[in-house]
Amino acid sequence: MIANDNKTKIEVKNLNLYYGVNQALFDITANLYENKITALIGPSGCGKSTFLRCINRMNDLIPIVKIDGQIIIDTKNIYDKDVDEVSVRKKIGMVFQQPNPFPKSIYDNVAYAPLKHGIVRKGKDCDALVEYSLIKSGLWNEVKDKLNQPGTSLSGGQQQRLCIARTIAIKPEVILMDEPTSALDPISTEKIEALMLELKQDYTIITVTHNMQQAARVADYTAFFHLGKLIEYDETETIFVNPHNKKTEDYITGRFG
Amino acid sequence: MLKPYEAKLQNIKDEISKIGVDVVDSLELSLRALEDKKIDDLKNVLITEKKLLLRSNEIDNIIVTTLALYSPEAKDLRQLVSYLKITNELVRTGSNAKDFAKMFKKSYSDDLNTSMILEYAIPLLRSALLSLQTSISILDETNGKHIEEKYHRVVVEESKTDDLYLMIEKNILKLISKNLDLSKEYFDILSALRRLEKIADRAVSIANLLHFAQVGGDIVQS
Repeated sequence: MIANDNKTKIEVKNLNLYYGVNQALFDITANLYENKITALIGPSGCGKSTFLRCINRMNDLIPIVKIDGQIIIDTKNIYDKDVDEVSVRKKIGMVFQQPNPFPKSIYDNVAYAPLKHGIVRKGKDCDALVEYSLIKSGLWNEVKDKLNQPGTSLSGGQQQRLCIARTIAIKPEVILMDEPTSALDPISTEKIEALMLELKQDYTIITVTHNMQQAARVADYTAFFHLGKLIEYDETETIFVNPHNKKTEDYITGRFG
Repeated sequence: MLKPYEAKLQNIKDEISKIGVDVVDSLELSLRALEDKKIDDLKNVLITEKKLLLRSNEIDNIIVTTLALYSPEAKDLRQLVSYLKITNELVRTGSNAKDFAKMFKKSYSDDLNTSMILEYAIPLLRSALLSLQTSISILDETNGKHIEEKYHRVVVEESKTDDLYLMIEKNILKLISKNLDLSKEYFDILSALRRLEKIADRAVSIANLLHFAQVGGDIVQS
């Protein structure tokens, strides 16, 4: 456990995950901190995306998955029987690898979920929420004059920021990002990274990345996974300058993975 | 580059600048002592190598972390590599500034030809000071033309310190040959003045590194 003054937002206790008879995550225990960016790194198939999807119960959608252990968010285990997974996903937004705007206008992309969930009604409140979300995602100045155009008409980087705006619009507390820049060019990547640094003031961000430099640049904490196990979890500076585990060092320095 | 990187870079520059200013302040204090012929005031030069090393180690560790976290390239990489070497140069200049003050104060006495010593020591100290001041000022310079100008000013001042040192060395050797009893005191004065010449050498090295950081090319240290 890392000793620090940060407030724990997500407490993961002895988490195990099985795809049928195959175990994919082994006894994961970690505290993820509020208003911090935590990067999950590791070679392909190490379980980092699987772990990420546990945090908003996305794995529940896969019939053969079995999970034991606890993920406690603000004192409540999200895997308790009385917890509804939809309410979990309202609290925890997610941004995916490929920008995936709805085939709707820019405005409707952002307004869809808040209207559906009854967070706002059509009209001024909804307009204000759309504007707020687009400002927070750093997209407002680029799209304010073309809100009725299709979301898919935007560039890849803009589409990804639109997806982030869509996530922000449901007022989540945690944002999960699964390789959010792997499909983007370097300029768009830098914009998303700068945005992540802005967003952490208001949200807890957990991101999966194959780009170790990205983890180093933006994350406050980094967790290294290997073969379904959490090998090392510490401040990013420690992981990248003085890792304690040889496997971590070998991975960081490109000796395997 | 992201804001956190820019902030770290600025922090590194600020800390390097602070060390540079401390060394420059020490040299200014020494210069005033010599100009006012209050050699005892040299005791007020309080800079120490130990304290400078602590600070330079802190900066070096920030640089290592910044290199590890941000993988800088091109100018960003040149800057950090240069800064890593500059901290060492500044510790040495600080050590030389302290040694000069200590040795000069200890060896200086009315038995020596003080007017001749001060006639050369003051311009030597002034040139060493100017060379260091100018080289540190390149740290905040972004205009290529200004960098070149400042770089050449540092080289000119360093060359002055070489000439002045050779002249005073020649004169002191003459005085020693006339009065062997004072040879130790004269040699100690020469040794103290040699520290000033070394400060100017380090200033050229710093200027070279900052020139490399801003303009590129190969690392050349004198």
